Amino acid sequence: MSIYTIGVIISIIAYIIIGNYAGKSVKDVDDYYVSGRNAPTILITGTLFASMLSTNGFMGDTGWTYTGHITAMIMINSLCAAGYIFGPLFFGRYIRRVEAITMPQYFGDRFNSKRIQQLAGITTIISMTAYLLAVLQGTTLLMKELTGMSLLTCLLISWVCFTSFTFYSGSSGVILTDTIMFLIFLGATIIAGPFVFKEAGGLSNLIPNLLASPDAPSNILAYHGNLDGGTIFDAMSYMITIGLVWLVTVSVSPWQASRNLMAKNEHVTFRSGVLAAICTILFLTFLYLIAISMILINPNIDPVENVMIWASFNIMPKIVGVLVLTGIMAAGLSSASTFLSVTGFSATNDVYDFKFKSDKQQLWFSRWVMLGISFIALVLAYFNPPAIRIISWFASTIIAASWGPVAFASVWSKKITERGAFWGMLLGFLGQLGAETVTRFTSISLSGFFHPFFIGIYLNLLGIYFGSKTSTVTSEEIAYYEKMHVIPETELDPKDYKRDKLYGRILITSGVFISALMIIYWVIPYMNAA
Amino acid sequence: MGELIFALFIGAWMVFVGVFMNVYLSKEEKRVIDRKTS
Repeated sequence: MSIYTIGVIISIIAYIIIGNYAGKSVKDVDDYYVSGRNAPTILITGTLFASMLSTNGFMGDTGWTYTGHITAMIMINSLCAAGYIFGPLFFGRYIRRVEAITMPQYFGDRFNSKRIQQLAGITTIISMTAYLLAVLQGTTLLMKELTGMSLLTCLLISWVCFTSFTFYSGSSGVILTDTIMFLIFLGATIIAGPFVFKEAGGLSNLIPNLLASPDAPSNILAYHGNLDGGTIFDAMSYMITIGLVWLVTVSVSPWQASRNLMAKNEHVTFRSGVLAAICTILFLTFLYLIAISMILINPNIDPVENVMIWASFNIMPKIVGVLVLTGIMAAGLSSASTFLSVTGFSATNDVYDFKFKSDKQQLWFSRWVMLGISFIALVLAYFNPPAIRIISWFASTIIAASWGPVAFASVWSKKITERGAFWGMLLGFLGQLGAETVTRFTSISLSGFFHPFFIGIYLNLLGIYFGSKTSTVTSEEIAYYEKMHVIPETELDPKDYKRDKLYGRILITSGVFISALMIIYWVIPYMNAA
Repeated sequence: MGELIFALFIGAWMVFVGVFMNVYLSKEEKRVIDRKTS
């Protein structure tokens, strides 16, 4: 048994033990769904970032960076990161304030509409199940690569790991294991970086060495990156539009914004948002520097998604390599547990109005539904039907196209009606789905501000406009809206605001810091070489 | 030159978001205090 297999097994056992331990504190539905609404900043930060970063981030994105797109990734991440600030400020804090246990429930309550809750619940289940499958397959393939065990064995091990603690502990287990996994992959990457940089000739020499290397992808160090045969305008519009797509996704999607429901108070949502934003920009840039350093060590890694795996096997000391690889798996498992929990909660709470005799009955029913959903996901992951595979390509963003405008309008508009919200959500979902079908299966290419996501957004806005124009806001909706805008007394401590603004200053300082680093270590050497 | 603009943009964007957050929260805090004292 290799050290990598041992590392994987130890980490899996540890997550199961810790995650199930958290279940001991789960006494009622609030604990199960939203961790009792008492999670501190570190746990919300951990679950936010770990749910966002999966095997795709450590493998797909680093592979893309390795082929010359580091500047695109930095731009996309910088725009995306703003969603962690704007999201809580303009949406997340309000859904926490009304004490919803799921986001579809919030929409249902806000518009006094069961059909909106059901629609939001169904879109959650479809997109999160597809995303769960993609992540589960990524984790399974990685485990197979590390251990040599069969695909089915790896699938079952991954499945047992995240299902066991999600089923038993719900959100309490998920956010605790997410945070531990976050600390592991963060720490592992920071420890591993210097080994790779040293082998590549030193971090301070990285840019000059890449400039001098005949193996470096074309334009890797230009602001637009590798053009892949396209134009500078194509490259820049791609990175900006995708960055904006992810900004909205991070602000309102259920696997991100729902973390706000668990926060101890609204100020925690702001602070954890800042930390998640800083990780998204600074930590991921560090990860991508590792990826481009690998060009100087081995420019022929194929497939390129294996850059970090190759580095872990061949460059890092064994124990560090084990740490990084288990960290990458942790990134996948943490995302999987979040997607499963969000799907399971919606299946129990949002699609059908079950009448429970007691809180305990609802709690155990939720657990069994969670297990059932997870089992369905296991079967689908094994058989991998084409329809699910297709949806997983855009599962992460379609729900933002469906919910984005409705989410912000629900907080900030007194004019949006139930009909407007319903049609906005439905057209947003179908719009992106239809546009994705067109762009993937026909010769028509939809990009830039005609990207399928934006088609969904435009249709969403039309749905809101015409739906609201042809109906009236009810007194219940107005009452809910007004109640939502009253800041609770417990949120008004000046010390909390002072602390929030300290985090704001940390973000500002980080911005100055990253600009300075980029200018000193990239821009100046690059301009001198030109 | 494009690289310089890119580097400045990334930093400036983060600074803008941080400043926005602080100004927004400061205004909210002031509104709350004014409502309490009036």
